[in-house]
Amino acid sequence: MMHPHVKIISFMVVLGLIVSGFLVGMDLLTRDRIERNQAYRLQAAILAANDYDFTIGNFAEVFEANIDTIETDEITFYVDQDSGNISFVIEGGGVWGPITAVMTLEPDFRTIVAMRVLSQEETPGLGGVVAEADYLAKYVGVILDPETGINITHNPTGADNEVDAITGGTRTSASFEWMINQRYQTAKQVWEDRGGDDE
Amino acid sequence: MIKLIRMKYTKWYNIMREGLSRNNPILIAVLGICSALAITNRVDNAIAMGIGVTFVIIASSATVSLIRQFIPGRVRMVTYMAIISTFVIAVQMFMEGFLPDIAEELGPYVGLIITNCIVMGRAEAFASKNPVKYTVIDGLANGLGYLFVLVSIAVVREALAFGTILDMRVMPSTWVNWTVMAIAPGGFFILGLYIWIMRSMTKNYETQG
Amino acid sequence: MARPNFMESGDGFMNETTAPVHINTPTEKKLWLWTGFLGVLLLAAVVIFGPYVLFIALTSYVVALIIEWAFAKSRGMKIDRAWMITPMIITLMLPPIIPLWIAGVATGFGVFFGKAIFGGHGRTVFNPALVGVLFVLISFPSQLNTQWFEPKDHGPLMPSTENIGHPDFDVENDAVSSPALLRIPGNYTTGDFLLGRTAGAVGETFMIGIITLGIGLMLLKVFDWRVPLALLGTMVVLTLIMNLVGTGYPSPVTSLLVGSATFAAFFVAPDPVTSPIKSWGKVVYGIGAGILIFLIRYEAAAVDGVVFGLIIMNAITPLIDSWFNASSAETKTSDETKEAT
Repeated sequence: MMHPHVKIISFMVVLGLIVSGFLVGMDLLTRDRIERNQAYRLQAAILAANDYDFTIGNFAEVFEANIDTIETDEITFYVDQDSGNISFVIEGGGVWGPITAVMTLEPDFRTIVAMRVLSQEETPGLGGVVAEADYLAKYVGVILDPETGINITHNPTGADNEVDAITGGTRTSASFEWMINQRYQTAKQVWEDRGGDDE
Repeated sequence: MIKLIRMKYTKWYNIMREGLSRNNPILIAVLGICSALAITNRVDNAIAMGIGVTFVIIASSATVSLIRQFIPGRVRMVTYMAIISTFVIAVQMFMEGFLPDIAEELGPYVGLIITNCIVMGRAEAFASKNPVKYTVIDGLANGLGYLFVLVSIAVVREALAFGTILDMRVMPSTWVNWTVMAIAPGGFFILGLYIWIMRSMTKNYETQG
Repeated sequence: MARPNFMESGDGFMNETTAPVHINTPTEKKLWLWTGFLGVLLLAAVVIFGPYVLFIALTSYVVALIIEWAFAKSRGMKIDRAWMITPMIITLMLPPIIPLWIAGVATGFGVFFGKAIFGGHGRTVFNPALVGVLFVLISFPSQLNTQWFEPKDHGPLMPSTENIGHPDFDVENDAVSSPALLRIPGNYTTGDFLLGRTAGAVGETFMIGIITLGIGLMLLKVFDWRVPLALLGTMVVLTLIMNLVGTGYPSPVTSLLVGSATFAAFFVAPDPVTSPIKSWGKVVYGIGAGILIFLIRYEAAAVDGVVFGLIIMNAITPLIDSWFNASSAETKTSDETKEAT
């Protein structure tokens, strides 16, 4: 007769082995797909900003064929081979949680081609408007000021770098403006230092 | 017909009925409402979550039942936990791999199936004492009971919060979305109403004592 | 001495008539005075904002009465004696151009979830009107927070003949957003504020009326003076301090004149059923509400802060009562009640 402690320990060891074996198998089966899916949101946003047709089945290939990824220490640029449009990720704190977005600029590094919010946790209906396509469409064509960047305001004066603030989302607008400008300055610095256009 | 009547008295039928209505995990036992509140804002999330939980209950209960003779009594809780976690992680990997959008929306709540008291409760209360075939039925009944409540909450919430059901427009285009229904408090109100209605209908009142 | 546990009484959810009633439940006469004084504010709002506000009030009352009637019927009781107050407060706290169906949802939710399921007047934990307004405030933020308008520029609004549901008003261009207004209150003179010629909710702008009627209610002993004084005093002190050390805060007086703070301090916060019993408890409650309103309004993302602040204070009222050893349960045979009084 086995000692009860030995029985318990050997039972747990056997259970542990079976369970880990099962999980390793699951991981092998799904790992590639999960990696692919995690890249999807970012790559899809960049492809959409550059007007490419793609599906969830072929986005990785389309991205690979058309977009150059330039990695630097501080920031990763995604450059469209045809138009030269430059995309990069902007992120920062909103009112309730982090906001992540992708901004795409024309090769002059000033005109906004598209703005897409990847994730946010703002108040639905107020600050949450920041992620809505209708609102983000207002950013298209805005020309950033090299010094002050973008100006998100409730009282537009008609300047090129102005965008309407979110009604009822003053604080989200302010955070969004801050993170765009912060990130824009960094990106501009890095981009100019490495001599503008790629290679 | 005779068969159907006889069906009523089988153990299978009774186990099924217990899980679905008389002993519904959410409405009567009020278990697992953390996820019920968090993910019922859209019907597709509710279905995915419900199926995930149903699968985990069936699989873990069946496994527990299968090895119930070998589990040493003193480590049985740890054993249930290990088995349940394994299946939950498997479900999570599956969702991230094949249903990325839903996995994104469900966020941490898939992982939290591990702490869903329904799963642990069925393992301890039923699976550890019954043969595999009844355990599977019991797991299915409880899982479906959970799924049924989740979906019926989600139908109301999605219609009010987004004007859609399963992304199909059900409300007129002038519909103004009720933001409160998209966030957890809306789930509380609807779940509260359901529990009230169901308990009034089944005359299940908690007695003082 | 603890508050009654409402779940323990009765044999079913629909028949919960044996739950104890709050010790401070106002008499019917006081309820009518309360409603009547608010009615004066409603009439002032008709002059200021136009007859559309009467439709808001009408919708509120119809919805409230239907729900009260249904519950009274199913419980075999008479209509709740406080039926008239909740829809009136809700009407006065909504923006003057709110779509009527939102007023209906607010009242329906407030009366149903805030009052009826608790067992009616005197048994509620939260002020039912606040529950209703809170629900629509969270549900429809863009309607609730951006549909104030300037009566000064427009004169009273007429309901459109084609669409009774919404007045003839250009929401896109003329509506005023409350968050902006609460920070930078515009170019109003004190006279504008006193006469109610400012943007705001239906009953919350006519300051002369609010202050005189509010003091009147206190003189008639419908409400205690401590809650409003503590609440408004706290807000003045906090804005005063913040004006000295920071920027971006309105002057202490202005902070009371915009938004719901003054109206709620006089007519909603001192509601005897949902505020503490003992005098010092009322002071604590008022100070707490003042701090919360200040924090939520100026330091957080939720707009006015009054509804949120008061709901939170409602929730901890039993706690305050227990600090001051007061019991709110009025059971007819109990001697404890007399001691507590």
